[in-house]
Amino acid sequence: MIDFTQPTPVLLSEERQITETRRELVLNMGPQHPSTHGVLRVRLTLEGEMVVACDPVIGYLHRGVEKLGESHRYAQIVPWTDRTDYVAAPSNNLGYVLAVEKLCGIEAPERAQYWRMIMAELARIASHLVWLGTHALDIGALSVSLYTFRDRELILDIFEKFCGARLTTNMMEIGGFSRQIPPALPEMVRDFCRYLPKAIREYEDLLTENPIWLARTKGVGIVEPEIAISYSLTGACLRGSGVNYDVRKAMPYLLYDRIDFAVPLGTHGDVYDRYLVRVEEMRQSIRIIEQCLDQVPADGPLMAYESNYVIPPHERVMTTAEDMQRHFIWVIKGFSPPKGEVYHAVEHSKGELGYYIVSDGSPIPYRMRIRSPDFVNLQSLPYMAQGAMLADVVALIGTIDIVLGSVDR
Amino acid sequence: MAIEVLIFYLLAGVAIAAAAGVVLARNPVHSAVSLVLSFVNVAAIYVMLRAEFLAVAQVIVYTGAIIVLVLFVLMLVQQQDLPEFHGGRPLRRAVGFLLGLVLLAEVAAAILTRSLRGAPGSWPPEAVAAVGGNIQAIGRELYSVYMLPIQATALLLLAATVGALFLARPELIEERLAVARRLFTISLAHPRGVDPLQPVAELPGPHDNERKPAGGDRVLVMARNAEEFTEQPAWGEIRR
Amino acid sequence: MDWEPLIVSYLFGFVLLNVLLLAMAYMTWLERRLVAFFQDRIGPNRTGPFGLLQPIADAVKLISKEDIVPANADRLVFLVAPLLSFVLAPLGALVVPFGDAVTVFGRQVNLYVIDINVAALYFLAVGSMGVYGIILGGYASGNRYSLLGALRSTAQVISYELVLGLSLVGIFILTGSLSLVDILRVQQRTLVLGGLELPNWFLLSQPLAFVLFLIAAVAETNRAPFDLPEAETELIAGYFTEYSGFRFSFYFLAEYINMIVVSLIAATLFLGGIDGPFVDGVWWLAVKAFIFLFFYVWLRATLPRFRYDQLMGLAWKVLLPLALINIGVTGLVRLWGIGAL
Repeated sequence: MIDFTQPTPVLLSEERQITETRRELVLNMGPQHPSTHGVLRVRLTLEGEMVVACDPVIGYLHRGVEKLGESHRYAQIVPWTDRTDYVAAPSNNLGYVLAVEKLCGIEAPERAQYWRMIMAELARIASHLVWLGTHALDIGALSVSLYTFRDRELILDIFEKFCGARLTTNMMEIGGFSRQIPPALPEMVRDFCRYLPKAIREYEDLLTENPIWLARTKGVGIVEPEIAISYSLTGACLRGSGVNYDVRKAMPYLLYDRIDFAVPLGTHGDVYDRYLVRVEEMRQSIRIIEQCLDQVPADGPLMAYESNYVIPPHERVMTTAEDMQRHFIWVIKGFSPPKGEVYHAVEHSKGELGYYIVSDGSPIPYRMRIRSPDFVNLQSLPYMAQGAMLADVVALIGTIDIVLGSVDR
Repeated sequence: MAIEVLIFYLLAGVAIAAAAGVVLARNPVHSAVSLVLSFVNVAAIYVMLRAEFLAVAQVIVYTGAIIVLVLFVLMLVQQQDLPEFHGGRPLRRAVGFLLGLVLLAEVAAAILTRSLRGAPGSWPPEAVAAVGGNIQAIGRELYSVYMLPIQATALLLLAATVGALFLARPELIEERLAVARRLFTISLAHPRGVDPLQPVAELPGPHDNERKPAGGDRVLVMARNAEEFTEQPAWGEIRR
Repeated sequence: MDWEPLIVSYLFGFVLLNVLLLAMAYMTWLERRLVAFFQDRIGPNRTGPFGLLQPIADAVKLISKEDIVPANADRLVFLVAPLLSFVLAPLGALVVPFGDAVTVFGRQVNLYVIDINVAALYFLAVGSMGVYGIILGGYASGNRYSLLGALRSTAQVISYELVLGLSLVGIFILTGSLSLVDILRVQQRTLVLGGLELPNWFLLSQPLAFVLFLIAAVAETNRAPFDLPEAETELIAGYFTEYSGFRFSFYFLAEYINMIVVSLIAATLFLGGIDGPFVDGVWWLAVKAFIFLFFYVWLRATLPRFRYDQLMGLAWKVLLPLALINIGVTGLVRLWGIGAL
């Protein structure tokens, strides 16, 4: 029987119990804390305001998405990927869909690939906007969060126009897009691309040269490049430390090798560099989107209908017997990819998002594993937090850019 | 007239009761709060004696700064660390009692020699009014007659501050931190108690990429090609 | 004994307290509207025209809420601390002169509650007492976040109290008085500077002290960017995490009343209080205080928050030496009699 009137004893490891003197204070930050971005719990050992130990405790948002992947058919898993990193849902869709396509040997039509890139980059911008707003809010700059969320609405409007949903988009399908592109969409995206640079300048006016912002971020949470590599950080956490690794450049997927863009790298590896890198990434994303819009064919198929793993289009189902049977089987049983295992990574807004899928030839995966960037990046929190102040921990959680849905899955 | 006497008794009564509370309270924080109450009442008595400056100085210095610092320490002390929970310290108690008696005798002597015999101080009300008020009077007295004691006190306080800084010098904190770091554990990925990271071998220097000024005296290196998909940092020296 | 001035003083104090409470209520409304304006939002606009009844709705809500005392709180201290904070907040306004003496019903009435010869120090003393509400509240809550908030507040208030006090010393040297009424009288003179007639406001002769006072006052009232004791994103409201209902509202009241009082004092000390073009009067004081209050809100909407060590470093390494330099320079100027200040 648990006595709820008594405080829960904090279980400390043996070593810590020895060093735990009366000078130290164990502070339980989260899971209900406004700055832990959801339900992260961090057990801090403080000496005064200085952090001597930091133990992240995760799992409060664990929903077993990977296990769910072992009991759903391939096409049914896409909505679940929305719910891992819910601030950049299209990127998650993309990672999963590309992994399955690699497994089945499908290649989406060119037009669909361009639109996938556009949507993934929009998702990256949306995610970075959420990150910037919450990060600034954690450090105390109230207004930036309102501005970024205002501008993120424009991206959500684009998503809504495209697929009807704003947050959990369930946008990408295995083989391409089965929906048509709304005719007004390209212009909408172009308008957004024209608008956003101005907005970014607005945020930068508030933060980049602000002495308090500089004091709070410069020299805080330094991760040296070799440390970043040995923690297998990816995304801005790695590039902020100056290591040149971006999946879009290193292992180009979709049509990124046709696009001219630069990958910003930091030079000092602190919170401020990661901030600069992410802000620059937003600008580069705009460039990518503009190039995609210039290059994307105005007309053409959006779905790789020639493949046997893709659900046939409606008119063929209604006209040919063979496709009708295939449609029936696809709907009732799903499709069965060939046996094998596959890993495919995309550059998510937070880092390398990989899907590892093992197929045993049945319509449901034998095993699905998500290499979520947030989970891996979060490991660097204790390293960054040692010797930091309590207020820095908040900034550090912000700079890692975690979404707990993706950390806990 | 009667009302002033009444107010005086009220203030004095509360001051004495609060002073008793300082000694009697079990919780040291309650003691400190009682002391604040006592001080404020004494300050009010000063105001009634037309010694406003003394009253305000008492509130700013004693209640506003010293007791706040005392509270600062008390809040960090855990109850079970107090000597009362370990049988007390008889010698200290005895010494404290003796010192209290001596103080009482001193105060009594001062009161008996001056006030009761009606001997005037060096600043009768007329003299105070002549220099323009009691602030001016205190100022004159402090910076002429008592100049040397004031300077000596200032020097003493400075020495005390330096001493306190020395006692709490940061090297000690660094040492303690180092101990904590050695035992530093990560629950997620590393086995407990293992020193987490050894730096990998020396990495090659930065590449000649385009550099873009990014604000705050920082530059961003703009990497354009995949050929240097590498583990090469874009910076020269390693910090920390 | 002459009862009349005493009664008049009490009456005036009562009126002043009510005006302050009303001003505080509308300060919350104003702050929410202004911050909303800064942030591209609308702000409260549903309760009454332009949301003008919002403060009343908030008050009703707060008073009708349950007053929760945590199980491991230091009960007595926990209950008393917010009252302490609230009672001490408006006391500073008692020494603010609201105008010259007026004649009401044939009697001379001074437009201030008290004029003690140590008024400026009295303001500092009340301010330094105000920290007890925060410290004791944080300690008594039995919550580690609150305790940290209280600890931060302790160090912060002591440091910035020093800067606040030292920034005023220049004015004391120039006027030779600690009374706000005297300081105001000096400022009502005219300063002739190279043929230009300017008001003799201490903003002009003590600009450094003004800046120091402004920064220290923001820190003293625990407002952004110095709101470390109650930093929502770090300490989850710090010292009043555990408070609810009307005890919470007492802290809230105290914070806003402190802001208003500090603004009034700053306007009196540096901007010439009731002095102004055309007709002197309490409206000039209100306008000047409003400028300060607007500045408070503007800061909150714009700046990130300092870190604890940076906050202390700012006070001890930057502001305090500057204040001392200011005192030295002012003293030398006074000694050599440069200018007719």
